[in-house]
Amino acid sequence: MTEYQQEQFPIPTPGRLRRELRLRKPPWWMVAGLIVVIIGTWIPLYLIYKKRNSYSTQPKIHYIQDMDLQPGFRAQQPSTLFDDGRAARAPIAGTVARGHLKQDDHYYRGYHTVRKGAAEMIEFFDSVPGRVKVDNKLLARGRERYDIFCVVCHDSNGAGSGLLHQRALTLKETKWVPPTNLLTQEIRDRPAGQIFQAIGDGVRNMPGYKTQISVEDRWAIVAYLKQLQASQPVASVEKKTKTAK
Amino acid sequence: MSTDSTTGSASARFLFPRWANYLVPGLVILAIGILTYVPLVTWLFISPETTDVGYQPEQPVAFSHKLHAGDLKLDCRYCHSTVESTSYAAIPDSKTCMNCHASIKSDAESLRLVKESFSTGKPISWLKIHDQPDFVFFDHSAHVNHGIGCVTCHGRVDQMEVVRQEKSLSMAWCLECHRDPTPHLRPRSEITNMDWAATQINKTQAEIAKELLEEYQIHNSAFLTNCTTCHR
Ligand code: HEC
Ligand code: HEC
Ligand code: HEC
Ligand code: HEC
Ligand code: HEC
Ligand code: HEC
Repeated sequence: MTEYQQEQFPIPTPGRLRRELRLRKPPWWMVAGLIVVIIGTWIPLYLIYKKRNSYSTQPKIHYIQDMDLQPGFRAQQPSTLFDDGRAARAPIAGTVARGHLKQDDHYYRGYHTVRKGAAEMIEFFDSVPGRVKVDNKLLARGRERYDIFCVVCHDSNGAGSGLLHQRALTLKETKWVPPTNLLTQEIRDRPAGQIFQAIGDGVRNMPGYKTQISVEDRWAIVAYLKQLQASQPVASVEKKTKTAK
Repeated sequence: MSTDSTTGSASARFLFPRWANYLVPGLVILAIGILTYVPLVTWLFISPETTDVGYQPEQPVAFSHKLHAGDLKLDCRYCHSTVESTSYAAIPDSKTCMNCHASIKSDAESLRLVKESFSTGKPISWLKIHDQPDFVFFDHSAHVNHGIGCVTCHGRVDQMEVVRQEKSLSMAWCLECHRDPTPHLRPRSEITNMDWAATQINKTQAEIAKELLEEYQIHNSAFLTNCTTCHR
């Protein structure tokens, strides 16, 4: 045994103190290990910090599956069963769901075909159908829908220089056809049914909005458009050349 | 330590070195450390704030909301047209894109897939970003028609070049609002307005919320936090 351990009250000479202190220290590898562990604990924290402050292209990992992913299909989900890759199926051609016959030409199409002698003619209805009650609520709805679907091209006053039109001009798109000015006398004279039909099926270079706007909303837009035209001065009839600038 | 062991004598005993006096308090501190550290890190690690937020996959077509919804000021409902009437906010079909792209940038390479999809009828396989577990019932129309705007749950989509998940969509997040939706209510007409604030119509949020709670007849928190509201 070392000498100093036998002594009960050793006199603390500098040499003894030094030895004493050295021996109170744990061995270096333990100290080093501790430092490594302490630094190591920051690594997961740093990784979490990084994950929280960056974007990832990897989907989340479902650590606990529960019933997160069920075999049933939800809207717009893909399916490998069918050729077109869709899980949703269209109704079989030639069938009509109950209550969806859409016989009311005025309401659903805005025109009907009439026989004049041998020829079949298309005749537009010149009014909003009776099923649609034109009141402030409908006009407000029409305005809202117009702002959603038409403003990009026709602008909020209907004159036809919406943001998309301006963009197309700056891009110098050769295929771009300027949107019709809806305030001209020509368009004002259009029967309501024709405008309804134009919104649904499109006209020439204007796309149809059948899939995006419901029938009620299309009539609401027609009613609002009539009101908008009444509130704006008649635009001079500029013969628009049908080519883009 | 080998230096501490005796040399020679048969009564060779192991003597703890003096630093071992620190061992017990040291171990206590270590135990406390581990017991707080491990749960903390686990909690941080599996929390939806870490795992779900920030998911920003690369889509098959480099579609930019910043351009379409921000610069062109297209309303969200132009494309996500079912959001007010159904639970699901439909991703637009390629016909919707062709409304404009038939004549704009019609030859761009970036739009090849869209045109292909339009002519063949094969859908574009967009990746779903916000994805709730299938056992959760979520309904867009219930929220949008009761005065909760897109921006509350999806962030500034109109400033995102590529959409990402901004909110955790965890149950705690849903419940926080269902307990008290007042800080988030806005008039129905401002649903898609990305920078609407109550101050724009010279009212405080509290005043507006009070009116709208009444007008939209929003259920009380007992109904909205009932398990069957979201798990049915
Ligand atoms: C993508 C741009 C675009 C959007 C969006 C758009 N239009 Fe048009 N619209 C046009 C263009 C282009 C024309 C001119 C078509 C032509 O003459 O080739 C036009 C023409 C029209 C006409 C005149 C049709 C005629 O008989 O001459 C009406 C009416 C009209 N649009 C109404 C609407 C309404 C209502 C909406 C909203 C539902 C709407 N448009 C949305 C581009 C658009
Ligand atoms: C021009 C059409 C268009 C407009 C306008 C538009 N979006 Fe989108 N949106 C898309 C398409 C296409 C996708 C799918 C591709 C993608 O994620 O970028 C999408 C995806 C999204 C997603 C992610 C869906 C998911 O998978 O979880 C959100 C959220 C979203 N849009 C919100 C909005 C909001 C909010 C607005 C209004 C500011 C808006 N969008 C306007 C076309 C549009
Ligand atoms: C309202 C009209 C409009 C609709 C609808 C629209 N876009 Fe666009 N998009 C534009 C315009 C305008 C540009 C060109 C902007 C520019 O480059 O200045 C553009 C540019 C793009 C570009 C970049 C093209 C390039 O190479 O510069 C992509 C990709 C694109 N759109 C995808 C889509 C997709 C996908 C959809 C359908 C979800 C869609 N767009 C619907 C108007 C539209
Ligand atoms: C109360 C919060 C909330 C509001 C408000 C909200 N969303 Fe969502 N949105 C969600 C959640 C949650 C999902 C994921 C739904 C799922 O996976 O079933 C989602 C998903 C989507 C998707 C992907 C398709 C889908 O339905 O799963 C789109 C697109 C979308 N939202 C657009 C919008 C638009 C546009 C608006 C504003 C008109 C809006 N959202 C308002 C919470 C919200
Ligand atoms: C920002 C606030 C907010 C957030 C976040 C939110 N909700 Fe809601 N939620 C509402 C409001 C407001 C209503 C309308 C209450 C009413 O119909 O009276 C509602 C209604 C609902 C309803 C319909 C209740 C009914 O039957 O009328 C469901 C389901 C629902 N929320 C699910 C969810 C889920 C799931 C989430 C999380 C992904 C969520 N909500 C996040 C505010 C919110
Ligand atoms: C406001 C809507 C809402 C209400 C009310 C609600 N939940 Fe949830 N719940 C959610 C959502 C959203 C998730 C999915 C969270 C996730 O994993 O992203 C969820 C997940 C869960 C899970 C699975 C947890 C997991 O991590 O897998 C359980 C269990 C659960 N809820 C039980 C309940 C019970 C019990 C109640 C009634 C006290 C309740 N929920 C009420 C929205 C709700």
